Amino acid sequence: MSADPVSATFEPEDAAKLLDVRGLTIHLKVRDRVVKAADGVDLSVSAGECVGLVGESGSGKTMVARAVIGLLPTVRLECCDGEIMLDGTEMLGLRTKELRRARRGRVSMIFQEPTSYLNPTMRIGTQVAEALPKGTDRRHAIERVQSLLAQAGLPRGQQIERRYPHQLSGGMKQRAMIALALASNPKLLIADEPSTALDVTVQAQVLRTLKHLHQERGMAILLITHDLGVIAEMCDRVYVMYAGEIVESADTLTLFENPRHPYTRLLLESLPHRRRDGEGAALKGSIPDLSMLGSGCRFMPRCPFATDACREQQRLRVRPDGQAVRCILEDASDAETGADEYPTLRPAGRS
Amino acid sequence: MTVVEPDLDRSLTNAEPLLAARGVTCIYTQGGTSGPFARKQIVRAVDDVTLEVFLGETLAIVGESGCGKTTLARLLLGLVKPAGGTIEFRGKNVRKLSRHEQQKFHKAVQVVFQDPLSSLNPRKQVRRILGDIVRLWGDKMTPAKLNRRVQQVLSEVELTPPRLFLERYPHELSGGQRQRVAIAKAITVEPDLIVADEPLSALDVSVQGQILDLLRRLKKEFGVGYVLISHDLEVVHSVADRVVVMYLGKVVESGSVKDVFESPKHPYTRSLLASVLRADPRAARQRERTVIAGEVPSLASVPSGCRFHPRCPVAIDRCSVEQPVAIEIGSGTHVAYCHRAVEPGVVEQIEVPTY
Amino acid sequence: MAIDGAPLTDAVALEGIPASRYAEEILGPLEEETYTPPGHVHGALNWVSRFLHTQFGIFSLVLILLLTFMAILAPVLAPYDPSAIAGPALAPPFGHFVFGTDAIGSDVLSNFIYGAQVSLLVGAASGLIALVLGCVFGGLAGYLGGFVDAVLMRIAELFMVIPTLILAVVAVALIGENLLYIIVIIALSLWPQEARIARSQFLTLRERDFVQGARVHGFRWPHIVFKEILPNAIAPVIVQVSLDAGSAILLYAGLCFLGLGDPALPSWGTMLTNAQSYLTADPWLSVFPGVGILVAVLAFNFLGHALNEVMNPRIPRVSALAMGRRMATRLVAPSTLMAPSTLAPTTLITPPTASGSDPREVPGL
Repeated sequence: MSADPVSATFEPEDAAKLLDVRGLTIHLKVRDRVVKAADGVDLSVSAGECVGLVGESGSGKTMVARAVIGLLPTVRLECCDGEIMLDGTEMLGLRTKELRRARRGRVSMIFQEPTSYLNPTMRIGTQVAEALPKGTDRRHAIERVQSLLAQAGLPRGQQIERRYPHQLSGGMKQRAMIALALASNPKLLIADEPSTALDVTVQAQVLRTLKHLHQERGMAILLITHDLGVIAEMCDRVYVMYAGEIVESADTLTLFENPRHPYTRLLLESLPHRRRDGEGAALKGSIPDLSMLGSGCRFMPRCPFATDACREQQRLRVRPDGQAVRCILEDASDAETGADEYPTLRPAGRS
Repeated sequence: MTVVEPDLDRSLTNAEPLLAARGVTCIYTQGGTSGPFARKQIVRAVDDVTLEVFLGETLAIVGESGCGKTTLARLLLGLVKPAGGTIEFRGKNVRKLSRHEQQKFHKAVQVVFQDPLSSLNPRKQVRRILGDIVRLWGDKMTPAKLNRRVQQVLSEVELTPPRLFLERYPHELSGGQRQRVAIAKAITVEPDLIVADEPLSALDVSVQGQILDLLRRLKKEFGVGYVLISHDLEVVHSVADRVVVMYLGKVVESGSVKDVFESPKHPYTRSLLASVLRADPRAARQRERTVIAGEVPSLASVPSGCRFHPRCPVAIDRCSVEQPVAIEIGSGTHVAYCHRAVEPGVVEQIEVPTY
Repeated sequence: MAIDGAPLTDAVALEGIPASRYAEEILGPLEEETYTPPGHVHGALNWVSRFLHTQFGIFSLVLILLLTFMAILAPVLAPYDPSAIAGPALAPPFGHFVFGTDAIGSDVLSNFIYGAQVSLLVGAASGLIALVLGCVFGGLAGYLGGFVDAVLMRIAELFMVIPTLILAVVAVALIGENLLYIIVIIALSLWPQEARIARSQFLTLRERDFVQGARVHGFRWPHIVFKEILPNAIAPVIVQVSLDAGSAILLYAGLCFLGLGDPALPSWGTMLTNAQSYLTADPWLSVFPGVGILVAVLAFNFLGHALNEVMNPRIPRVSALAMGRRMATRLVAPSTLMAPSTLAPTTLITPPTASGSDPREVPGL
């Protein structure tokens, strides 16, 4: 489902987009069922931007990230459609060698669990060096590796590069993975839940490192997370995903202060600091099974504003300021009338 | 009616805690080598911790990995034997309770674990999971009464209509539903206190809100207290009355949530609060966040003196030598274990967001 | 009124009433519905259904039922008394005597049938004893740990180390050739395997939250061990037992072949040893009992395989057909792998087979 004709203020010119995903559709086969992990996803990242993709488990956000970098599980892939333009190159449908060439210097990824993604039998320095451009001679390689590890926030002079992964703590492993990702000097870094597995204080450190790298190198970041706090901290723009679809997108400030899609609004209401008094609406039910979706709005079973009209497939409606919402309520609340017509969340009635 | 022990049945005064840890220490041995000549490392997961939980209150225990909060939870529940110190239930040592007193303990103190999937027996239907508990405590229960009680408990945790859930196995439920069943298990016996070990961490964000509401509602309706173990300070701030902050097996600060969140006095508490990511983009852009350096050291190599001193921005020489003692702040129950807490303006150098 | 695909509560199944604004007013508070994968059979039948859908389930079940049938109805099915002289010696099969006759003129078919009876008995009985011994020893070792664990495991290792054949020879020499003794000896050589599995299961399960929760509730250890841990621990042990039943049959056939079996009872192994001089001249004497052993052992092996698949749903089943198809596609048209198939967003997809775990937990989503 592609977006309506775009207004200039929100989506930048096509030429400036580093990553342009259009109509991405990913269907997986899991034990004789077809799971619609993503349907018609449109998103874009411009050079030097930090964009967040937020959603709970089962929203499909990880699959989208993997599609961008070309790590989809081909064995279970039922269908993969759409367009992924990364810096002018189409990423979908590439074979391994072409994929490798397409990635180098353009995109890199860090994952949630650094332990699973670092080779336990190789020293950190060797692993980072593997990612350096071919033909780097040994001396330069050592310098580069040390420099990368320092940029990722690992202390110099402690010979970290000679250590094995199991000798590092969680936060240090995550930094090692960041160094690995930086080695090819990518223009876009995809970070899939980079701080979820870390302690609170370490989380803050790692995110700050990422932010500095983002600012100093002008490296764009696509940040995938379920944590709204991380989004608030790091991102310029946000896409909200629910059950395989983008349901809302806006710049961060607008999203938090003026959310328009019922899911976004209820999600923000579920945050602990808004539930202090136990008043207010709450999200009920749970995420639908992605193999048993019907037509129509996927949020309908849980939406307090559901109507008959919601049974039809909903498209993304773009407001003049660029905020996009996939909800029929947008039609009622015209841009001119503003938020007056928009239904307010009723307090939850409890018998 | 069985004979009622006068000791445990007197109503608790405000001064006497329902459950208390007194100088409790818990030691694990971590394998360095094995065999008859093994030299194993001694790890003090919990080191000389004293705290009290009073009837009806929600006490939160916060800390990062390695702070010992999970071990402390197990100690409070009587699942693990302390190497030193005692756990007291209504003033009596938990290890030395008579059978009758033990039963009272089991009825009064219950648990909710972090992972809802592993906290339910995968081979038992919900009906049996709850039914076994009801049958354990109710003699002469007819099947009809049992069924009714089970359904009643399921309604309490908002799993309605209950008959829909009776025949389900845990793997046929969603994460939120499983956690509700786990909570149902706990409230079946109508406890005075529930020890909840990270009850929200394994759940989706939207479900977390629901379960939090449920816990709050149960507190209001049944007057049940909680010992809430959590790493999520936002949750703690929204639901707890008192909070205890732990670091590397020791308590570093404790007090009412208001005191600790609004005027924290221990550098670690302040660092923790500073690191919390709040869903507020405006605030995030306004201030440069204070980020503490270093990571939590392993329990096997605990720093000397104050355990936080290597990472502490305001540490002085004394901190690496002497273990800090409790400093009372204000006139209430606010206590911090820091040498520099008495000096005005020192710890305040570490900026924290306002609550 | 139910929306295609999206699971709704029974409260919603009101015919003809459209969902109106503020659905709560009409439908009432949204009740959390439970999730049932379509095609999922509930309860105990689920196991049966899953078993029948495994690669070897039906096959092994049929074989074992056949053998059991043969064993139970042996007196009815066997045309002659196996030890009696039924006809001329060395008569060829497919004549009056379906399996032919042996060197002294006994009916091979009758011997075969009664041999099946003995083999199955040995397999089942040894398996059962090994199961009980394994669970008791392994369970105690795993649950109690420490010194008890060390002692019990050393005992298990002792039995693992003694070669069965030597043990059998010595035992037979000392106490005689009764079938019961032989069954016990075979079971003694098999039980350590089950014990190790049971021990590791008990060790892990002991630490699981639901067991700890049972302790917090004040359940006593018999309840915890038998009602909480054992039902979860027993699955891999049962798989091992079914495999071991096959081994027991093989073992007994071997013992009989060496002349150590119970001489009063007919058995496939004895038939084989008696057939040694007639291997080329009268092959039916060795082929039939040989096939019998093969089928019996295979049946139990397949049973073990199928049970393993049922209990371990994570094992991915890649059928040869699917793999071949994929490789063919790769060779023929590599780009077509990514081509879109027709999307039908409105159809409700009903899977044909049952599956027990929550499909919402798609890894990596």
